[in-house]
Order: sequence, then C-alpha cells, then structure tokens
Amino acid sequence: MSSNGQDSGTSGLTVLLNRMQSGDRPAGEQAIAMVYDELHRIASRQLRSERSDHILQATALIHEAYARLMGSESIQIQSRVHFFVIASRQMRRILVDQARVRDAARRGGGAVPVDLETVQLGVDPRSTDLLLLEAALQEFEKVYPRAAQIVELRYFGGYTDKEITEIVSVSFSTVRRDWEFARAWLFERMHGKPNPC
Amino acid sequence: MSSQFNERIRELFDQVLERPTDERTVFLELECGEDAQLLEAVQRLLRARESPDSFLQTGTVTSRIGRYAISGELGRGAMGIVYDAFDPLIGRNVALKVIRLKEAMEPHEAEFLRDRLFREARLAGQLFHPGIVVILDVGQERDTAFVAMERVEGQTLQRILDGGDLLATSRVLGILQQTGVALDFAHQHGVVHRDIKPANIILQNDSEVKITDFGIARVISQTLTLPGTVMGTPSYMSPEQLEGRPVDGRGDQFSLAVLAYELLTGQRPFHGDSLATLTHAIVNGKRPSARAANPELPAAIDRVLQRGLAKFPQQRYQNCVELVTQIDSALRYPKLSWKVGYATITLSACLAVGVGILGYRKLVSRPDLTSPPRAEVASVRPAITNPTIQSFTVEPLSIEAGSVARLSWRVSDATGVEIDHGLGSVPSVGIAAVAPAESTTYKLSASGHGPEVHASVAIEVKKTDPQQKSISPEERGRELYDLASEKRQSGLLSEAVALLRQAAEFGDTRAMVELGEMYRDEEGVLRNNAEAILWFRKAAEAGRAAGMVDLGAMYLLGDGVAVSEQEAAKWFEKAAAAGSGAGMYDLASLYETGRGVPQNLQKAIELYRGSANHGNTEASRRLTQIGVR
Repeated sequence: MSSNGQDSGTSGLTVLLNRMQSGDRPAGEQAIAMVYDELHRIASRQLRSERSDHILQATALIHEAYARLMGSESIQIQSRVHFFVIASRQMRRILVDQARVRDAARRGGGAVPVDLETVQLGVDPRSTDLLLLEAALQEFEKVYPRAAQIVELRYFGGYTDKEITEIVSVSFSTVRRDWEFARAWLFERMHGKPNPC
Repeated sequence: MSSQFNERIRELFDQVLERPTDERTVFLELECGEDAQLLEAVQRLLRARESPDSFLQTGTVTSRIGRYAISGELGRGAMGIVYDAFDPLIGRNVALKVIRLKEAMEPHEAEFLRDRLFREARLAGQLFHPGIVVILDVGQERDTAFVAMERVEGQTLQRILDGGDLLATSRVLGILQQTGVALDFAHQHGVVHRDIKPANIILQNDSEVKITDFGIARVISQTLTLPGTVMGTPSYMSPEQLEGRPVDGRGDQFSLAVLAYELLTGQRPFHGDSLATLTHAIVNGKRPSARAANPELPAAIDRVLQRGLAKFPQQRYQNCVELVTQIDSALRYPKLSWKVGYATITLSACLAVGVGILGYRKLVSRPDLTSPPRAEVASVRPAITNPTIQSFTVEPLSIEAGSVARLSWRVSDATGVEIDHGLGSVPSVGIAAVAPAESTTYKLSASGHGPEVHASVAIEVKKTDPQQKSISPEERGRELYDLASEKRQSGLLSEAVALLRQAAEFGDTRAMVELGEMYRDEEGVLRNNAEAILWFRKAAEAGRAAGMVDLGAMYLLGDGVAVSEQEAAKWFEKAAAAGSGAGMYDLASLYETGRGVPQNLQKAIELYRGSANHGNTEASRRLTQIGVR
C-alpha cells in the first residue's frame, strides 16, 4: 500500500476503509460519515449551480466524492468496492432524508429550510414516492439481500449493470435477473393489492 | 413466509422468464402444482413485472434534451454520447444520440453537419425492419443535435468480440445472415449504411441482430474527425469509400465480408500501423486468406471471402445475402472449424460383447487384457450451420484394431433440455466392429435444433474376444436389422435409422429399403430424397424387389430425381419379374394408361391378375372396376 498519500482527507478514508475491512466498526462508521458529508456537500453545491442543460447523475456525484476523498492514491480494489457500496447507501440516505423533509413540509409542518429544495434531486418525477419505496426496500432487503443491494447501487448509486457486476462480483445476467425481480417485487409491494396472506 | 418459500418464488420467477411467452402459464401451473399460494405469489410478481418502464428508472437527477428526459448513459463515442432517455409524449424509452455541434467546429461546419445528419436520419427513418434500429426523431436544441432511436436491450457485437473467444460457427452464421438480410433490405430502399462494424451491430437477447446508426454514423465520424480527435477505425471500410468514389450497397457488402473474416478467424483481414498503411492495405493490398489465419476453415471459404472483399464493387456478389449464403455453404462442407461443445469420452474395456450401457464409466481393465482398447475424440465440431439445425461431427475417432466400439450422443440446448440422442450415424458407427488387423477412423454426428447446443459423446470400446468366432457380415447385418426393428417398434426412430444404416452397410437389403423409406417419409431423420434414392437403388441393384418398386415410384413422382416414366416402368418391370405383387400392380397401371410404356390394356389386365394372385387387393379391386374377373 502506498504511504506517500499524506494528503489530508485522502489517506484518511483509505485508512478507515482498510481498518473497517479488518473488522474495526468505529472506523467503518467514521468512513461512512465521511462519505455522507462529502456527498451531501457536493450534491448541494452542484445542484445549486445546475444549469438546465447540465447533466448530473448520482454516479458523477459519487465519482467526484471519490476523487476528493481518495485522491489519486492507488487503492486496493476491495477498498474501492467498499467505497462505492458505502456511497450508494449514503446517496440513498441523502435522498430519503430529503424526501422526508419535503414530505413533512408538504403536510404543513411549517417552513422547514431545506438546502436541496431548489432542485428536484433524486426522484425521477415520473417515478414513485421515495418514502414508499424506502419502506418496501427495507422489507425486500430482509428477504433478498443481494437483489436489494443491486437496487441500491443501480437506483441510488446510478451505476450501470456492467459496473455493478464489478462491484458486487456477480455475473451480468445475475444482475439483470436480480434487477428484474426486484423491480417486480417492489412494484407489487408498493402498488399491488394488499396481500391476503 | 419461510425463506424456502421466498427462494422458491425467486427461482420460479427466473425460470418462467426463461421460457417462451406462450409456455409460461402452463409451466408455472405445472411447477406450482397444488401450491396455490406459491402460484398466486409468482403470478403477482409477473404482473408487476409489466409495470411502467419508468418505475425505478435509474438516474437520480434528471435532465432534458428536447422533450426527452435523460436518465442515464448508454455509451460514449468519439462523436457523442448515447443516453438512456424517456419520451414523455409517447411514454417510451429511447436511445438518444447526442452530438455536440459547437465543440471544435466553425458555425458553418456545424450547420453543414446538422443538415447532413438530418437528411440521413430522414432517409434511414423510412426503414422498418426487425434487423434495423428504428430512427424515431431528430432535433436540435441549442448547440446540441440529437437523434432518438429505438431502445434496444443488448450488447454490441464489439463487446462480444472483446471477450476474445471465437464464436461458434452457427452463431457466426446466424449473425451474418441476419445482418445480410437487414442490409439488403436497406439497400433495396436506397439506404447505405457506410459504417458496418461490430460496434454498430447490437445483439438483442444475444442472438437477434439490430443494426444501428444507419447512414448517420459515417456522417458524424467523418465530419467530426477534426484535428485532435481520433477517427474510428476504417478497418471495415470499402476501397471505394476510402478513395472517395461512389458507394452503394456493395460497399456494405465489403464491410460485411471483413466482419465475416474477423468472426471466423479472430483477426481482421487488413492491417496497418497507421491510418495511411491500413488504407493502403485495403485499397491496394492482396486479399488475405482466412484459411491462413485459421487453418481449420475449409479451403472454399477463401474463394467466397475474397470475392466479398474484392477491390471493385462489380467483382463482388450481387447482394449481401448471396455472400452469406456462399459463406454458409462453404462452411457446411466439408468438416470445419472449432470446438463448440464438449466431448465426454468414456472408455471402457471388458471382454463381453454386447454389454452396452452408454454413459460415464470408469476405465475398467481386466487382467487378461494386455492393453485396454482406446478411442480418442479429437474435438466436437459443428458441420451444418443452418440456423435451426446444428450437427456435430466428432472426429477423428480412432478405434483400435480388434475392438468393438459403441457410440452414443446426447444433444441438449443451453438449458440442458435434451434435443436428440442416439447412436452414431454418417457413416455408420453405432456398433462398429473393427477387424483384428486394422484400426479405423469414424465420424459421429448428431443434430438438434436451437442456437446453442451442447453435444456430449460417449464412446465405449470393447476388445473383441479373439476366441469368439467372428460372424459374417450377413449375420451382422441381420442382427443389426433386427435391433433396428425393435427400436422402430418402440418408437426410437433416430436410433432405428442409425442401426438401419449400419445394417445396410453390412449389405442387408431389407435395411436398405427401410432406411430409404425413413428418409423419404421423414421418420427419425430429416427428409432427404437423394439419400432415399441412393438406398433404394442399392437395394434394387442387390436384387431386392421392394427397392425396385420404391425407386420406380421416385422416378414416377419426380421425388429427388427428374420425372421419368420410362425409368419408372423399367424398375417396376424388374420388380414384377422378381415376383413383386406391388411391382406388377404399378407396372399394370402404367400399361393401362400408357405412361412410360405403350398403352396395352391386355398386358395391364395380365399384370393386375398376377398382382392379385400375389394377394394385392388393390389389383383385385381394379380388375373389378374395369369389368374383368
């Protein structure tokens, strides 16, 4: 491992990720917090300055966070993977939190200042209620953890199937099948008639 | 809900989707059996699967180009980005190709490019063909031009080739065939692609060809090949296009031939360290031999590919389909190519003749055997490449002298469903006795349907007992014929065909006739009138009357042979002379109507009588009809 990356935040996260891998829980939590903060910061800034022809994607956000936090250091593949997994999870958190705030505001919870409110971040206007999705996803996660992770990476992390195969190290067809299944399952849970059983 | 139940749901969901749409319901119901709860759960998910495409569409921040909502990136090239986009007006997903006009371009250049792009898109937008990605819309927003295209799920052929392995011949031919048909369609509508290459061929569901970027790819790359940008490879480009001469459909044919060369050899035909040397090679260089690059290809392939790669369009084939057809037949015969399946070789050695469980057996050697007999299978190769029929040839198969070999094959599709099984054929193997003095080489072939077929071959070799009295070919033929009859009665038709063939090759004339009939009537084997005639003739020449009658009938009906009433009459006559009631009857009807012989009612009646005396009821009835007792 390289020891010359003494750049402030840079090696910090790498070290944390490595420690996390060897079972250091507090280090893991610290790493997650670091990723969350960075993502949140970039998202707010970018969205404020977004022009209408500017194409912004979760992947881009995550990649920028990656560049900032990890620098150009050569990093163990395992750490990279962990980073992307964490980043997707944190993207999900950011988006869900934001939806909660919006939801609260809509229900008359008063004027809640929201830093991300200016732009529709996250949810595709055509898509479903994010809070409903979150509830369904939490249920799904318990039964089909791998497929749920693919949903997280794809929907919240914005990764392509190809990238996901590398992150999760499963075959392309597994990713496709998991996604198809998850999509059906979640849709059914969110929109289907109540299950009799 | 138990985790087992959840797992089962998941399993069934995947399995159902692997089936053809019309089989899904039945499959699911069968799988669920009495479990109504399971059935209900899976059905719900299958219904939910039809949810709008927009549900959980990726991309957390959306942006729009024109009216299209961008949700992700599908690909990126030198000249632009292809986005996964959604058309809110029609409510469907599209692939949106976006070209930045402003970057590194003068305004008039941008305008020129845009106009050409729109013109090409208008032209290509008229093409509706399953093998062509449909162009849906073009437009411009500020300094961005875009083309909306049908969204195709699949990967480009380039991606597949990047994997590095040669594709199975059947797959190669499937791809070339579909591409050729789609190209000819476009050419008939006056549209030339101009940039056929693996990156512009998408394989939907891994097998259906969709050609993308008709007409537009070249406009974009040509115009955008500006200082500092890398032009796409001209490896596939025709000499006339490189030289700026007019390009028609035959230019695409050239590219298709380059593609065929690459698919069959794993290499591109023309090379060059630089654009200039590559261009020179294409325009002036010698046409390369595909066989030199892949010695397993048959010699005939070079002639075909070199014509497709001819320097001048008028030297090439008339159209792309003709090129592909020629490639197909060049590959069909003789043997060719590379490994597609896997061969399971089973060797066993034992003294007893006639044990014959075929399958996976350990090498057993008896102490009284000096050396175990050996059989080797070098490889499994596809021989026929019709997209629906695939035949495997196993060769060379050497069987040691003084052995008896039994071979079987099992062909299954990618999902493991058995398509065909049986004993060897072409030429006969099945059970082959090898005379003590010689060793011999056989081929084994099997056929089945479907794009992806696995063949497994089992070979069992037994040392013949030197003490055992060798049996005569006649006896052997009879034995095999009896065995074939048993198989036929139990409905194992393909095995019966294989055994009949062996019996016939041992000289059994009944087997010859029946084998011919199997070919003629398409029983256990695909219809092949030429093969039928071959066996009828052999039987007839060996003096078997039934063979003469069958052969005569082929001539009379013109099945697999030019109609000849004289020839028919000749064979019926021989059959009649050999005492065949059927021969007499057929000959009688020729005399009655004056076909192939001079009309002669008297002679006809005599023959009908003779036939009736041989128990032919048709003949008796005919006699009554014409008023003779």
